[in-house]
Amino acid sequence: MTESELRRRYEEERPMYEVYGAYVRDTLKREIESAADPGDFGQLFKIPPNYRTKKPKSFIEKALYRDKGYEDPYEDITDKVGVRFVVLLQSQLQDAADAVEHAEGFEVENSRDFEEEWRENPARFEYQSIHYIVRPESDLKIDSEFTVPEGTPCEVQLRTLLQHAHSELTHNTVYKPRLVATPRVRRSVAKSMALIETTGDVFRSVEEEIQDMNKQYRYINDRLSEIYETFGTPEYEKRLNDFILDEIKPLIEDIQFELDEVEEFYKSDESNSVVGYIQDRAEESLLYRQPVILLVVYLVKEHKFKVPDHWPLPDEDLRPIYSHFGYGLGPITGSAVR
Amino acid sequence: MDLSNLRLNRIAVHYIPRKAASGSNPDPEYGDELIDLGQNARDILTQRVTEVLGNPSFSVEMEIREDGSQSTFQQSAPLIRANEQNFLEGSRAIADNLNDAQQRSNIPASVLLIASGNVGAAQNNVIAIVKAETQDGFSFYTAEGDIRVEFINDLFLTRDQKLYKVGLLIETDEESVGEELRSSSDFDVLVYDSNLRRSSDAAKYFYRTFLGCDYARSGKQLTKEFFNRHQDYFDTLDISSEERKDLNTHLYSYLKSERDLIHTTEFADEYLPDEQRASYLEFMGEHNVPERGIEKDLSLVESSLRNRRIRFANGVTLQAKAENFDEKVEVEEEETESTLIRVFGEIQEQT
Repeated sequence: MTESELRRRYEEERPMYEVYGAYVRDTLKREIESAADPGDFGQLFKIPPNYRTKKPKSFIEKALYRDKGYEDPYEDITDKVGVRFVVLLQSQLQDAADAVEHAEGFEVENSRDFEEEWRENPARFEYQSIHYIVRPESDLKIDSEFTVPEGTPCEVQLRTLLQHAHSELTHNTVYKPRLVATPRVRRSVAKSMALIETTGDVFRSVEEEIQDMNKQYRYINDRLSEIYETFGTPEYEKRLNDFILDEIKPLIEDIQFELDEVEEFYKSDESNSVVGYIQDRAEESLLYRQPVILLVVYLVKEHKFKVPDHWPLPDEDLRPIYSHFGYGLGPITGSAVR
Repeated sequence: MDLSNLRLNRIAVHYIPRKAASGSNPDPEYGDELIDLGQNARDILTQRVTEVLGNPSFSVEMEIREDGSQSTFQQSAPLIRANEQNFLEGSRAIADNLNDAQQRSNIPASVLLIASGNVGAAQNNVIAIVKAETQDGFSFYTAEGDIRVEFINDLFLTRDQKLYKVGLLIETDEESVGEELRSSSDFDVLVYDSNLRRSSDAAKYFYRTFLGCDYARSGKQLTKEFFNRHQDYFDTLDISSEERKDLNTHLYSYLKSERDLIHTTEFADEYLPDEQRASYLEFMGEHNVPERGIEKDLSLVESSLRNRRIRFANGVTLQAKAENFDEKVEVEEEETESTLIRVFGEIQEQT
């Protein structure tokens, strides 16, 4: 094919690739979201997933002027359209990769596998990301206008945010026009890649610690929710609930406390009036719909002198609970106005 | 005394004007209907009461001394089972009693709340009598995106505990129900008045003249317990002898200072660092030091307070008058084998 033939064909088909890119993005986004957990780290995708089709001039440049030696450049260039997903953590990246590999309706080919690369070249630190070429297993009718033929390639890139930062820094300047990549620049890039990989490991250990804590919190919250459900409907709001739990935790560690005590208390008749009290308040206050409020109320009853030191909200939110038990919060904290 | 789950249901309000300087005695203004507080306002009222009567608080356990037919006690007790009309009328007689008890013209005008309700796990019947002075203040609200400020000159029952007094009659027994006069032994009484803390004379018209009550427990034994438990507590602390000496000095100062009531939370307010407060109060609670005000009576600790002593393992004792002990003696260094003590004074005599 001549340059103008290549260009004409690509320009004709490009609108189809546009639609195809959007389709792949939306489909894989759903798959990845159901497989990877954003955890405590905000949105799963750190950059809104998007697609891009190659500009005709860079398509031509890649096909004819980059010394790639394509036999059939039009077919051999598999990144005419590409989709990119950027997540925070290596573990999320792994889950995302699994999701893509098992995406239904697509044939998936791993075009660049970082793990394989480092096994072959363990001492080299360079551009990392997972690349796949996905192709529809059969003709894909997207709307009345476009049908994507079976086997049409779309490149899918999966990266962590750190890898993304690195490649934004280097991709255009270092790899493409090879001459720019002086030894000094290459050395710096390799250094930053090594650092990024190390940072990734540190991120992982942070993630593991957080997960470990989450497990403890989940256990406590689950138990408390179970108790709550015997008389009402809790409405767990992680930020509020775990914020309080965070502050109270040193207290329950200090007093060698067992959740069984709380359960027993709420099972006993002794708790009847306080349960009524929580139910009343819960109608108006999100705080009283948190599972952790059961723990707070119990601790106030048993450890009235200690709780105020571990209460992260204003005293005014604690005072009604003290009042319910007939305790004077002002004298306890030394804040009585007298 | 268990003050949990306090509920105040029926509430009557009367106004007690200030005594005129001329000596004429204006009548109270009576409320004509029970007042209907919403849930939130009711919660605040309950909190005001538990803050001053609860565990812990500066309230005092009292007992009824005046139980004649016109006494506030005999006017109050029937309100528990009265219908609405009788409740209102009976509460007026209580307002009259307060008006009569206030003989001095320096007592400001006040609002008198009389409420019936229940308290504790057993939900015993209670009558709460709250006398509240009014205050000036401001309130603000937002209107049309702007903040407006309004002056309020008859605010009462704010958190300022100097401005209200409370008497709570708790019916712990129903033996005398149905008799013409109720027996005072059916009731426990709690009283809070910030004046009780410094000089009972200023407080007397409220708890003694008006409520007809007096201290239920003698302070003699309780003061001694208070003193001993504090020394026990100081012994549990991992601190230097100099610091222990300071704490003892605080205890002496506290007990010797001019006050009629003593209380652990007040000792903590004045002498303990915040981080020690919770464990101190907990220790006192566990060792049964009362959580309410103790009438200070030094008769059983007088001799302990007269002298301060530092005793050494080898039999040496250093003794001095307690006054200004801190300025006379300093523990400078201590080791297991020896202690360096500086005495600020010259040797006068040796025997």
